[in-house]
Amino acid sequence: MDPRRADRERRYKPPPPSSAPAEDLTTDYMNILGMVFSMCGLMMRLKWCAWTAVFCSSISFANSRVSDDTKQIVSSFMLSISAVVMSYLQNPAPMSPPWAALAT
Amino acid sequence: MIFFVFFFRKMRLVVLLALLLCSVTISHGFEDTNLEDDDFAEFEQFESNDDNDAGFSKEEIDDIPKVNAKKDEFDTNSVEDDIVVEDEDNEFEHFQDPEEFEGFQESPPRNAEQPKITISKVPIVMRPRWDAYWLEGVLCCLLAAYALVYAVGRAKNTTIATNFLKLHRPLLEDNFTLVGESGSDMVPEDRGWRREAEHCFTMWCSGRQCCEGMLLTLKLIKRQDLVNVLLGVVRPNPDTLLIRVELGKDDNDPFVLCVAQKKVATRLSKEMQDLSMFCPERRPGDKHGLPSSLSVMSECAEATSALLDARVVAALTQYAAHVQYIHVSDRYCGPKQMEETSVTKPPETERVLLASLSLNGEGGGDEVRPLLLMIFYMLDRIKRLRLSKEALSKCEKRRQKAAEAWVRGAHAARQESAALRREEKRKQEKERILAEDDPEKQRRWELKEQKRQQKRKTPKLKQLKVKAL
Repeated sequence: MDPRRADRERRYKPPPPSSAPAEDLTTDYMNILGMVFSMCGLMMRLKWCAWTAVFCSSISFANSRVSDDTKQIVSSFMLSISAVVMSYLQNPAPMSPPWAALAT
Repeated sequence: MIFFVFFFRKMRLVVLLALLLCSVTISHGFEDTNLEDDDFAEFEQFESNDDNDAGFSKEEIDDIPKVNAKKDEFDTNSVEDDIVVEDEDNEFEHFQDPEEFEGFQESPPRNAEQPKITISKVPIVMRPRWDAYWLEGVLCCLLAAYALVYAVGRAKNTTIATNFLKLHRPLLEDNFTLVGESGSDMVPEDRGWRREAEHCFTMWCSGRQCCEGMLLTLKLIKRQDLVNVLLGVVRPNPDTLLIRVELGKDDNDPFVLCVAQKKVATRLSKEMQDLSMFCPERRPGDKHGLPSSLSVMSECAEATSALLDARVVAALTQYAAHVQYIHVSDRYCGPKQMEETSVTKPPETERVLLASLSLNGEGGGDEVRPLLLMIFYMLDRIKRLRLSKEALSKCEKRRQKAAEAWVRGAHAARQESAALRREEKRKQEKERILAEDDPEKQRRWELKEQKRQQKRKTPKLKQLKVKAL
């Protein structure tokens, strides 16, 4: 017997947010982390902070949903990249690894 | 001619001597006038110094006969110029004056007492070489690797979704009139998955008996994210197919049933509101003929036995490893709400069948089709299932109780919030009274407050009116 019923066709309606499965918050967390690290990189001239911000933005971008705000991701990227550029403009010296600082 | 030359030379000598005499007389004349003028008396010293320089000019003049006539003319001019030049030289004369600098060269420095100057070795400042930036190089390589993994992972996830659709589209089209409609923005010819994220695809199917529609969500491994790929090496996570079937109003009797993996069952019973409310008991799968890795949470035994018939049990036994959970509910309202959120209206409930299937390595293989068939079979069973009157009344009673409990809870919450508001209001009034200067008013308010407190403390007694006989 054919189970199909054209009269029972319904348009797609997204499930209510309360019953929807737990949303993936990686994008939001990484976005915030990226912003924090960018600001640290810019204000305190910490190069590793600026680099971490770039990675946070990348992770945020890779995990973002199609419905997410693109502007936010782009601004996060721009901020982190500007943090890297500014930190190297202010001090072009290469970054020293953390264990080198510990050794001294 | 020779005479003329000789005469010329003689004349030249005479002219030179005459010029010399003139210059001496002029200079003397100048001296005399200077001496006569008292205003310039203070410059006498400098004039005397000029005399010394004049000696130098005289020596020059002695040499003059040795040069030719033209040069002599020039020299005579230079004698006059020397006077001016000498004046200019006077500017730096004080450098040669021993009295000008006190203690200068009086005691010549002795070598023994000279302070030792130690010149520290200053490193030669050069542009740092590129190999100093090795850490930056590593980070750039990591970024490049991340971008590469993103591109490859995204492509792989898309391929998995496309393959899944290619394999199972005929089955879906056999069961639904509408496959792959997922919003107004979809092109009719391009029906299929809707990309929610790089690892998440959804597809809406509708037009089948016993249900309103089915939402398939393909939740793949985040292959586009290098961090997740590396985490997956440590703790493997499978691709998952989430099935959400929305049931119609008359499609199922009121009951809640859940078959899940043991670990998942524990989590669901804690998190899900309907399961924690209606299915407090968690039974092992053995008691229902299922593998021991599965647990069964059921509100109604009758519904369990009717739904888990031989065919379903056989399918579940065969593909137990792939079934995360199957959850049938007429009061599904998602996970429990946080305590802090104010309860103003009862939660919206839905009639749903939820299933989570973990797929084999590359996005599902042979196990998907039988499991999908099992879901469709279960839908038909749910539609046909009619609980006995007793079971139905029991289930209805539970729902009624739950509704009452919710109303009580909401009432208590409202009362609590009202009490808080009252307390806040009283505090504000007290502050206002205390801020006023009128002691009489304060006393009156205190008395009123005391009375109110006493009234609250005394137990409420019902007044009984006894009729006098």
